[in-house]
Amino acid sequence: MYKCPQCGAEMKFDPDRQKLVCGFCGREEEAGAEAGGEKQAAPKMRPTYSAHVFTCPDCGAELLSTDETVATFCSYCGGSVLFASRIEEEDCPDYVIPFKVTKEECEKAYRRTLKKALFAPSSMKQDTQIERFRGIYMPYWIYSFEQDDRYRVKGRQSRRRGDYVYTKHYRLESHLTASCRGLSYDASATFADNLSGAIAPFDIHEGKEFEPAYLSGFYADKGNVESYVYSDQALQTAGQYVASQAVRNSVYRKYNVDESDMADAFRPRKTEEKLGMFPVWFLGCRSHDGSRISYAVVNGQTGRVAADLPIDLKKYLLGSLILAVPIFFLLNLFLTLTPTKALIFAIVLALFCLFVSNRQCNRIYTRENQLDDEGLQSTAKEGRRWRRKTKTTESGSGFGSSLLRMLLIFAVMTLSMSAMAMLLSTGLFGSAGGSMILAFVWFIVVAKLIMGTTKKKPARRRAKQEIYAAPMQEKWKNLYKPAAAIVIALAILILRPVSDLYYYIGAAVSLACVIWSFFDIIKEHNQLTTRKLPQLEKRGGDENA
Amino acid sequence: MRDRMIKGRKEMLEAGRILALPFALFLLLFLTSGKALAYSTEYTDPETGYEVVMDDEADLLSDSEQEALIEEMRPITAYGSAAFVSVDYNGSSTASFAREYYYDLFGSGSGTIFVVDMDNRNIYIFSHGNVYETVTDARAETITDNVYRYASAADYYSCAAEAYRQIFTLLEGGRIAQPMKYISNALLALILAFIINFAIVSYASRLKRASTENVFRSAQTSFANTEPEVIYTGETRRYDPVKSSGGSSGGSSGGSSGGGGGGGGGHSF
Repeated sequence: MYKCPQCGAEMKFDPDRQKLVCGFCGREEEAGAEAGGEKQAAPKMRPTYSAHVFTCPDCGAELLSTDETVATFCSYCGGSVLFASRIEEEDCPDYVIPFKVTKEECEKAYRRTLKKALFAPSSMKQDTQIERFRGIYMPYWIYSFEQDDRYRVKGRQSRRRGDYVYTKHYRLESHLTASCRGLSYDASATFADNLSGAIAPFDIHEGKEFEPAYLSGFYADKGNVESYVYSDQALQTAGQYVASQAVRNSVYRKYNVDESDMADAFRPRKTEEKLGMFPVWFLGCRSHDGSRISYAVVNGQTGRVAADLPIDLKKYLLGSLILAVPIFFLLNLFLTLTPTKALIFAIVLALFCLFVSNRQCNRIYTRENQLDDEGLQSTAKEGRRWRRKTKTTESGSGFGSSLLRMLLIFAVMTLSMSAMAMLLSTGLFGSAGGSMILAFVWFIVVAKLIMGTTKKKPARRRAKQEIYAAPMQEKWKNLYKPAAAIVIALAILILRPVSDLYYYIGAAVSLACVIWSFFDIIKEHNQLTTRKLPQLEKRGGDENA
Repeated sequence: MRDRMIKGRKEMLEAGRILALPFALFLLLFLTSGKALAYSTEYTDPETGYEVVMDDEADLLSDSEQEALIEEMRPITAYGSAAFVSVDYNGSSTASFAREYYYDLFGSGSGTIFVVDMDNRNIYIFSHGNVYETVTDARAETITDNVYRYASAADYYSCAAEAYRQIFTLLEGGRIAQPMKYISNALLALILAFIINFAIVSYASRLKRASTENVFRSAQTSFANTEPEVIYTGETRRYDPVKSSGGSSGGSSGGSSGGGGGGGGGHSF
């Protein structure tokens, strides 16, 4: 706690004035070294400072503060109690970026985001909820790379002579002096990578030497991710920077140097990892049943917002009903669905649901098993185990598995082709365009299915977002509904009963399956926009707490 | 002598011309009709000149039913010709049969034709000209949807009479029952609304990573390198034959429109 030298009242860091301000007499003090911090420098050791450690009895999260005031709730799990358990000597981080965005500005920015979220639960929009934003200094690993050395890349020039292409190979060498300092990655497992990535970047130019006074009025996460976790990723990013600069040179262009080769050629001689404390406004909002939590975070320096925005099913249904009215009148102007066309529409819509649901199930699988969060994986042994398990599941083992997969692909292809042939032979798709569209949609679905079953690696690389394919037995409970819609509609189209009644009943059942499937899609979306309650370093106890 | 020869040739030419005319007409008829039409014009509107045509080849209607049906068809002649055709054997689809029959019968004039195809077990309405502007493909399909049950029950008179009644209602600017249109459009509208709203929600709730440019802008970066020194390391050769075809598809497909300006819809029974 920082006491006012004038009146002895508590002083807190004010983001607006970038100074410590006394809440009683209004005196301002620099947050610099003279501000009364208890920083103790020890030779050859990282200096330390005293801080109160607040522990959440529910999730085990630990927050630091230089204030004694006991917080009334836990931002990570939404728990209503935090215990001020002890005073600890904590290692000083190397940098701190002080809060620039005030709580009012943060709330304003968040409200703007909520305005776009038409179907977000009302509980998220309540003032009492929004007021629970808490300023937390999040630990970040800051990576720096320097190279002052020879830089070698491969180049080539090709020309054609008759039926042969002749390629001349070159080695391009230059002296490179490059540095990339301040690539930051969050060092807290509680802070999900996708959230921290969405409010990045922090401008390292405004970084200051750490002083405990900056924590006054705020909290700090202890951090539990080791620096090696993100070092490869940071090196790759730095390499991309060097490549993006080097590629501007006309000589590299003339010799067709590949940009990814350039990025890989970046071999820094000097690397550095420092710990920084970056300002984040943090809000946790538990779901109705209290089993999951959604987070909203605001960059305390730039005001950039990232939020999990679940859907309130009632609002969504009401909104869809309202929107359906003008669409209905619009459709009546130009669309008269014959029974056959109604079934074809049902198939197209069911395929859409199948695609979306499959994609979301894969994302849920990736998220729930922490496959997209290196920080979490590094701290949770469970996570590592999952990853290994996933890889073996996906890649299969040996010849038997490959044979099975090949048979599966063959079966899918044969069935789909015969179904296509039967459909086309019924003459339902009289126009060439109709047949083409059907053939195209079918091709996409089959290709997707095959790719899904043979996928060994994540569909997308780390540079964007990794998505692992979930095992079929996990996602089948959501996929069977649109699949049933397709089977019903196809069966009627192929059998071609005379009475329209069968067509309309079939179309109605198919479309009902599509709507049912949409409920699943909303549930999946809500699962993706909420997270499991954190269980940090908690031994024993109720895992479902 | 020479004059007589010339005169003889002229006579022959004239006789040839006289003979050529019916031959050409026959040829024209043969080429254009494609099949012998055994229809009978039952009524011609004195004002518009549009006709009511009956060709019950499949013998589906009794004489009294035919007369009653003609009465149902007669009002349509204010807008275009009307024809009832039933057929026992049809080698092509009902749609193409109806189209060809219509053009044979009425050419490019306004009108509508109702075909009962006993071979394909299909009913079909084909319209053209002014009538087609009202009785569009979708409406023809709706009418056949509304009346096919009579055909299934072998009540061909009721089937055709109801179809003509609905065609006339439409031509008069009236409305016909389209219950399934509204039900299916309502369901479709609801699902489309679900999809649109979901697309909006997905867009609004996506967590977008910072771009690489932004990340570098906020980091401290510097870059300088000397002019690259180029060192030749070797040459490789790869066999890659040039394709002789030139690689362009070049072909153009000339789909026939099948006598544009007309269309229709049908239903199996």
